Amino acid sequence: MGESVVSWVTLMSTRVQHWLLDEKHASYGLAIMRIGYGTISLVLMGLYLPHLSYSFGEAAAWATPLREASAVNDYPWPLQSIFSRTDPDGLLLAKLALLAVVTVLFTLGWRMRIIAPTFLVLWLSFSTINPVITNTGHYQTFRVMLIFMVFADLSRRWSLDARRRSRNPSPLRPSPTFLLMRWPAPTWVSTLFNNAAVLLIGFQLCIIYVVSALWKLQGATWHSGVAVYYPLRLEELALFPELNELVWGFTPLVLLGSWASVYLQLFFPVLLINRWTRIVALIGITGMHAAIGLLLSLPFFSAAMIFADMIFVRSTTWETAQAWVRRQYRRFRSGLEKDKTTKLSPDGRGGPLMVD
Amino acid sequence: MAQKKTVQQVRTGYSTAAKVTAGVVSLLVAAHMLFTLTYNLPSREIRESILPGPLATAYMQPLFVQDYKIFAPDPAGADHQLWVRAWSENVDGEPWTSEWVNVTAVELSAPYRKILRKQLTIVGAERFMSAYEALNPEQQQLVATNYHRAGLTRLEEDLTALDTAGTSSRVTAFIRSTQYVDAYATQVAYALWGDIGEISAVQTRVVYDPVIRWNDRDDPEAQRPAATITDTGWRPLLEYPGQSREKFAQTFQEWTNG
Repeated sequence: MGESVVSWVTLMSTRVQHWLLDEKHASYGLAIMRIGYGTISLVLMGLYLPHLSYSFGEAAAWATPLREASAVNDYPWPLQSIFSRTDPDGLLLAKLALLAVVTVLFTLGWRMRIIAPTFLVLWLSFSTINPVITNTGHYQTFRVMLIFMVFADLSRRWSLDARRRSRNPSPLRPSPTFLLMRWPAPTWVSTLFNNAAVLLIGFQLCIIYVVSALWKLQGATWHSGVAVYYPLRLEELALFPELNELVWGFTPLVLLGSWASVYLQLFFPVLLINRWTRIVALIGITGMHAAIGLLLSLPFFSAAMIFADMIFVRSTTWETAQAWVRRQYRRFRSGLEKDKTTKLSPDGRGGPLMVD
Repeated sequence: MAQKKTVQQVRTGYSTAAKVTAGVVSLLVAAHMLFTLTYNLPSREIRESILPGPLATAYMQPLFVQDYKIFAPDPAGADHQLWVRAWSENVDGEPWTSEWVNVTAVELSAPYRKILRKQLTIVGAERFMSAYEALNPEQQQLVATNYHRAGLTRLEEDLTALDTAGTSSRVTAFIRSTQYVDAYATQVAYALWGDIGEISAVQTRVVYDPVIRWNDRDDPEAQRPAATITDTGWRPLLEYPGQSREKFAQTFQEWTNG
C-alpha cells in the first residue's frame, strides 16, 4: 500500500515536471489573449476619451469618498506614482497617450520582455485614478489575467517578435519571458514560467465559472429558470431593447439561457477533461459570453473571458486553422492576379481578352 | 520522428536546478490556487473554519481582489437610479426649489456609455441604498431630517448616538456613501442651476424601480411594482479639492441637452 502510494506520487510529480518543462503550452491562446486584451484596452481608452475628465480627471474629484476607501490605495510602488489623481487634465492626457502607445506595442507583440511588464505597470497605475470604475467588474479579471500573462511568452505566435525571430533564427537565444530577465538563463526557465502562467490562467477561468455558478445556485430565480428575464429588461443593461424583447418574449429561450448558464459554468472544469466535451463546453460558454456581451451591455467582460478561454484550444487546431486561412488568402490573391491578367488584352491597351 | 527524439532527449536531461525550481514554482502555484479558491468560496463557514480564510484575504489584497457574484444570488430586478434636486434660500427674493432630476438617466443618455460600466451614479445609488437599509429604524428616521446647516459631521455623531448594536461600521458606510452622492449632487446643482442663484443645499434620493414581474410579462396593461425610495433630508454643498466645476458642467450639460 505504502509503496504504491510512493510510486504514484513519484509518477505524478514526474508528469507535472514534464508538463512544466518539456515545451511551452498554449502559445496560440496566449497570442489571442495578448491581441485581445490589448485591443480591449485601446477601445476602452478611446471610448472614455471624449469625457475623460468626468471619469478620471479634474471633473471627478467629487468621487473622493469612495476613491479613498479603495483597495487600490494599497498597491505597491510605483503603481500609485505614475498616474495621479491630482494630475491636471493635460498631463493625464499625455500619460494616457503614452499608455496607448505601449498598448499598441503590446498588442503587436514587440519586444515583449520590456513591453509586457511596462504595459502591466502603466495599466495598473491608470486604474488607481478612479477605482470606482476600474476596480470593479471586468477590470478585476483583466488585472489578474495581466499579472499572470507577464510571466508567459506572449509573442511566440502572431507577433512582431516572432517575425523578427523567424528572420534571424538564433537557437541559442531563449525567447523572451518573465519581466526584465536579461541574464542568459537556460531555456527551461522561460518554459517553466510560461507554463506556470498557463496553469494560473486556466485555474482562474475555472474559479470564475464555478464560483459564479455556486453563487447563482443560492438564488431562487436561477432554479426556476426565469433569472435571465430580469437583467434583460433593465434600462441600465439594454443596449438594443428591441433585441432583448425578442429574447425575453420567448419563454423557452429564457429557461434554457438561465439553466445553461448555471450548469455550463458549474461543470466547466469537468467538461475540459475530454476532448469532445471540451469542444461542447467552449462553444457553449463562448455563445453565453457573446449573448451577455450583446444583450446585457457587458462586451468587455465577455471578450476578456472568450479570449482567455482560447488557451484551452489545442495548438494543432490553431495550426490547422492558420493553414486554412493562409490557403484561402493565397487562393484569393491568385484569383485577384488572374483577374488582373484577364482584364488586360495582349496588346496591353486594356479591355477583355475574350471578345465575342 | 525527429521532433519526438528531441523531446525524449530533453526529458532525460533536466538538471537538478531545473527540477528544484519546477518544484518550488509548482508549490507557489498550488498555494496561489488554494488562496484564490478560499477567497472566492461563497460559504463563509468553509472559508473561515476549514480553509485558511484570513490568510487568503491577506494574500489576495490588493492585487488579486476579485468578486464573481455575477447576477447572483438573484439578478437585480429593478433599475437603480440616483435623483438630485437643489434648493436656494433666495432667488429674486424668494426661496426656490428645483425639480428632481434623474441623474442616472443623464449618465446613460449616450447609448454607447452603457458599456462603460459601472456608471458612477449607479455605484452611488447602490452603495447608498445598501448603507441606508443597514441603518436601524431610529437612524432612518433621523436621516430623513435636514442637516444642511448642522453638517455631515453632526449627522455622523447623531447616528452614532442612535447606534445601539455597536455597528459603527454601518454609520461609517452610510456617511461615506452620503458624501459620495452629496458631492455629485453639488456638481449637478452648479451645472444645472448655478446661474439661477446661490445654491443653499442639495437633496438626493435613490430609486429602485422594479421591472414588470415575470408572471405579468405578457400582459400589455401590466404596471411596474411600486419603487423603493430612500428618504433623506437636505444636505450641505460638498466639494473636494481639485474639483473642476466647469469640466463637470461641460460633460453633464452635454448629456442633459443631447
